[in-house]
Amino acid sequence: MGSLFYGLNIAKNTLSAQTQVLNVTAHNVANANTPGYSRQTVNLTAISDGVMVGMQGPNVLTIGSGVEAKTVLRSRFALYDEMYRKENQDYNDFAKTEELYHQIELLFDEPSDRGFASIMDDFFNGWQDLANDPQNMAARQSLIGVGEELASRMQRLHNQLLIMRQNIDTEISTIPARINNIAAEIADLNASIRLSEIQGGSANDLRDKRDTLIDELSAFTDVRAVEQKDGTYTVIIGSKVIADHETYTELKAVTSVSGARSVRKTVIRSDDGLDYVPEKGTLGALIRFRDEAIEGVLEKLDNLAEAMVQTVNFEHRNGYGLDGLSGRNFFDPSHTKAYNISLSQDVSDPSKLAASGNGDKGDNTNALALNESRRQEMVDGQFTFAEYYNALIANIGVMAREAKSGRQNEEQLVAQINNAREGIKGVSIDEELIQMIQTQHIYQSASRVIVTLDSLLETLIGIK
Amino acid sequence: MRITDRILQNSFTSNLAFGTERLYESETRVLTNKRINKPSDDPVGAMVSLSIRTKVGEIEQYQRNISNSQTLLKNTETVVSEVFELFERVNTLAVQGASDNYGAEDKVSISYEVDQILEQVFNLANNRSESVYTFAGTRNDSAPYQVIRNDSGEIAEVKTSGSNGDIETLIGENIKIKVNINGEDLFERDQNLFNLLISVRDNLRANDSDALRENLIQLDSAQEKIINFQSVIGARVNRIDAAESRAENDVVSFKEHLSNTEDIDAAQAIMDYQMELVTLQSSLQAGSRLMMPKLADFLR
Repeated sequence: MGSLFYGLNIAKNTLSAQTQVLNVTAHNVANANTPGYSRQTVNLTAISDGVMVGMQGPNVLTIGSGVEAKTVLRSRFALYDEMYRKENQDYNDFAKTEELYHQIELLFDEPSDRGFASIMDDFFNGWQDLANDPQNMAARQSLIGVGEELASRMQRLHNQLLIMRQNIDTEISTIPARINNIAAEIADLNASIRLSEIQGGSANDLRDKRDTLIDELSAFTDVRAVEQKDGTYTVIIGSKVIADHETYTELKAVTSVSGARSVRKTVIRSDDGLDYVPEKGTLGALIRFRDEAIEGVLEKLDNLAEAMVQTVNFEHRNGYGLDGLSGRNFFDPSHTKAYNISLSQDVSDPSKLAASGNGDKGDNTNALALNESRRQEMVDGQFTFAEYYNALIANIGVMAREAKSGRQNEEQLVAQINNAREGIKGVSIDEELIQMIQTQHIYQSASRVIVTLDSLLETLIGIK
Repeated sequence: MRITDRILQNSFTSNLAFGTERLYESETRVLTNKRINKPSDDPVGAMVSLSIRTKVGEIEQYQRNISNSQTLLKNTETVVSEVFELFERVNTLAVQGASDNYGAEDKVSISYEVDQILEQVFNLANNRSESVYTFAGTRNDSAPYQVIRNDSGEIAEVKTSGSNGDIETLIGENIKIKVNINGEDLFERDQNLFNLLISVRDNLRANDSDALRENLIQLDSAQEKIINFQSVIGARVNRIDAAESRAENDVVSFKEHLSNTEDIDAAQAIMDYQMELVTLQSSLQAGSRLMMPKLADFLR
């Protein structure tokens, strides 16, 4: 015959299991807006010890001993995490690229009446003004002014690009430090997770924390996390293991400078001396932008400066100043790059501008020739100055637009995957409340069972 | 799909961000009145806009050149007309000198008027507008003609120190026009006008009717030459005037093209802006409702 005490035991198990459920519900509600938190559920299992409580005729009555809270599980789908990280990396890549191109666009300030294009126009038109009145000192003075502005604007564009490059260098060098912090944290978490899971159970909150760190890493560059049998993550960036079990490897950005324009090259180097060049994420975007976009623009400005110095000087040397002398340069011929283009000492005095083609003060053929040099295809042997510059601006526009639409796409994708992920790991307050009410009722019912059994026992004890 | 509070929040925030971005862009377009504010707004359009701006700048330069050359040619035309009128007067005087109705004394006094005209023509040949000598060609910084005077202070000979060289200006792409008349062409070539006047004056004094009749033929061809130059100038002025109206049309049409490329259609842009605003407002409204009924509200 079954014992009444047995029922009390079942009820006791119930109370304790449901308390666990309530605790987890409380934990879920508390963390409903904690970043990276995964909803936890109590894995309730019926205790079927197979206790033989009696015989009913030929049948053995087996009754379980209630419920137990076996484990607390985390709702998470690893595939979604992987997808999220992949898209997050692309998103951050595009977003950084877009931001940087936006800076370049601001720098050039085109199309407008203030940009370099309009100064170039003013410069060449200025030669026509001079041609209209070659002996007019005001026209000469103003042409020199425009020439100086042309040179200084080019220098300024160049300098601003260099400052941008410098800022990117700084940004690149700070990222490995952040990655190292995360790698160290992950190694710590690996240790804690392994330790707590050896004793059974699942270190849910620690795992959430670790997954969030990997999410964070995915913004920087190409990252993968492989779970080992002991629950630790091996974290790989590019082809380099940065965290494995309880150890991690420090990375640093090593930037070497070479060449005339101090072209940069950055590698991410680890303690073991192996190099890796990041291709994606914020880090990839920064390196790519610095080495391709900025270098490209700098090179084009240099080409433009060089062609302009040579062409204008060539025409200018052919002409004569008001003093009847020829062979003078307009731009300093030893300064042919965008960073140092400047007017020649030869034309320090405006009367030395070579408007005349034959030495007569009234002749303007050379001024006209200088104006016409704008139509010569002098840059790369196939573009006029304006064509070359306009193509540069259009190219910046195309790239900026591409980055922007890429960013917008990825923003949507990241949001979608994040929502899919949230659909699994997110906390729904309503659900938790339903769970709570259900638990409350079960708890109350189990208490009622105890009261009932108590009264039965009282009755039994009261038998006289 | 299981929808949690986070998902509602997330999609609300990202829709809001997207809507705000679009509203901002549309607002920028309305405020700047431009469709292209940076190259990425329309890379091809930006390139077109840059080359049209250059084009407009060039044409505006041509317009400056045109008005400059109109002034120059107008001045030249005035001077040439004056020279012509003076020669008409000389013609009349020479006719008088060649006739036998006037005595030797009369002819001497006529010769003084011719001498005055010679002085005037010489002054006109050295005409200066602003700082530039009109007939000095490319050496227009100094007077092209100098005189050698005889003992009585009259002009005996006119010499030139340089009166040729073309001055051209651009009045359109690859369209150059000559804006000066060379003194050499007008005063020296074929028939030297100064020598002719000197000869008329001297022949009057010598009362040499035959020579004066000879002078009359020369005067005719001289006047013809001057008239030719007047029509050359007239033709150039016509060309420049034509170029001027073409430049005006071009500026208008290029500016229109620029505006079509760069500027917004105001009505459309404001409509777009309103649409974005309404979209954002409704998503805000929806969002405010999202933060709403929870089971907890109904549990007592």
